[in-house]
Amino acid sequence: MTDETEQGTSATLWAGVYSITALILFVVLVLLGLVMRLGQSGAVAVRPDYFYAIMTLHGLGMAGVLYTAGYAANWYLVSKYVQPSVALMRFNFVLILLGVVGLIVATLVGRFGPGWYMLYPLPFLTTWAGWSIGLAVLSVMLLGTAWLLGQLDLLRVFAGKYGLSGMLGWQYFGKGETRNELPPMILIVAVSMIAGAITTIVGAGMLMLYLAQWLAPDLQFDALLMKNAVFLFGHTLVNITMYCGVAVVYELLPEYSGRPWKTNAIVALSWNAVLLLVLFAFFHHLYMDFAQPIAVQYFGQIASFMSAVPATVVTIFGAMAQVYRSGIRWNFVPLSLFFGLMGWIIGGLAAVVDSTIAVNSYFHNTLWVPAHFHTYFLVGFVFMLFSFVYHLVDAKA
Amino acid sequence: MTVWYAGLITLVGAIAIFLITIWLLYGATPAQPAESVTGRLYKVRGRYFVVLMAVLVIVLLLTLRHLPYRSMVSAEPEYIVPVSGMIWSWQIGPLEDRDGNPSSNVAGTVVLPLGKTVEFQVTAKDVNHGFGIYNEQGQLVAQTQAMPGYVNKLVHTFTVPGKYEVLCMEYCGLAHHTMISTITVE
Repeated sequence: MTDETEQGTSATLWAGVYSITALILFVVLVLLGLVMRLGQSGAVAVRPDYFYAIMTLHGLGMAGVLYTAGYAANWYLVSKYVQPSVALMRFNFVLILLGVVGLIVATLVGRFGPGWYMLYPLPFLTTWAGWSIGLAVLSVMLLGTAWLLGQLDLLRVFAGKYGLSGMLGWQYFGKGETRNELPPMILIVAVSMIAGAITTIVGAGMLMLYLAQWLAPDLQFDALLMKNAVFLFGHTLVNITMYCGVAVVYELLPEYSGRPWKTNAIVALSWNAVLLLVLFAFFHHLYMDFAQPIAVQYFGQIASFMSAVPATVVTIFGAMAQVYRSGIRWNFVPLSLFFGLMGWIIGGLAAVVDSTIAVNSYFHNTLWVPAHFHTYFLVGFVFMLFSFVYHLVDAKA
Repeated sequence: MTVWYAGLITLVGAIAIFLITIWLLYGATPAQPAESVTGRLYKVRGRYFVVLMAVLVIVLLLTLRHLPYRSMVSAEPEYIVPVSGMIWSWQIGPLEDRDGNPSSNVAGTVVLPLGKTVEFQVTAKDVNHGFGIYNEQGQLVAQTQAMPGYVNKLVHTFTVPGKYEVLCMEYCGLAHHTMISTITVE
């Protein structure tokens, strides 16, 4: 067996392992969601400490599982162009597994229940077991470490093949023929991984402060600063999960439509704009914190509005160019990809509406918010993920 | 009205996006060479981009003028109400006039004047809470976060008399859902 075939087989194996694990966890977490709804309706009795522990596990679990599954899908598909480390993928699987077990024990046994964004200083409330606070923080740190290593590894191989500016498509901005062609998937994954790495580092710093306070309870940090940090980390992670799904669409749809999907100056410019804007969209989580400087609130709404433009415009019309009069045969994979895009756009529209400060006064922390992210995850990202898994199984068969 | 407009825009938008998706599914056949469709599509893309940007800029200009923040509200408050959230209750009042003189509220009840501009000075003693005021129909009329170490100033003028409920709008632990208080406006 040659090195390349060996790499290909290992990539398929690990993409399969990650996908199967993610799908199992996804189903378990959906069932936990169902338990909460049954509890709220009174159909089953769920004590508040279990309810909120389940809520925390459901939220943290879904954000983590879906990002990890999206990353694994990207990791597998980019290995057509570059060779990311299989050993790291194996190592990360162990870290992630430990993190998941830690979170399950902290929530279901220790009844750690401060919600998925663990808003400072709520985790340090002592209605749940003291040990569960440290275990949960350490578990999220393990997950964050695995995510950061994974993000840096993809950036390493992209930079090796395309160069730092090349992986962002800057060669398309010059005049004349572009020699070093960049698959659009690499561009989108590069943007996602850069945004992910920057914000995961911020998240790591914040989690270290959490850990410090757990060890030395007299410590106290600024609540507004911590809230900004947690949403920079959490919002961006969830946001780039969606981009991981969109990257799958760019890579797989052409295989079914028979039409190439290439990077050009407009596509490159749009995704570079996304990289800049995605880092500032999180401010919309703090609109109702009137103490936040007003200039930041303005900036938050502008960044939230504008971040919805470039990625969707080039992707919608790119996808249209893929399928319109292409004669594509609508089997599960392209159909699921296409409906996934629809869910993303609908969920995104609900987000833009809510990211208007004047509207947010009435929507902030209401059911509009979970409705938005359940729409774009369940009707958007999960469709894209199912597409990928079906494609993977089909290719293997 | 803001809520209705926002809901309507989202609903109509979602239906439009769904219909376009279905139209595209059926538009995949009959097959034609890619070059015959991309040129036209890219022209539409340019126009769509310009229209979308124009709409967003107009919406930004219109909506960024109406922000709930203290320095953006032109009405000068006539009364001040200190509010403090703690696990798992609200301490609201006593009502003060602009000069800091307490009003004649009976202890334990919060009665706010109808038609007068009130400034809620909202903070928290322990963890983050959310100060949300709901009318008798269960509609949210105003909100701000209650954060330890900060005072968020929420200015509001009640135009309808009645009993209002204050609900916690930031998850704050096991009895968060019971953190409810009332305000009377007359």
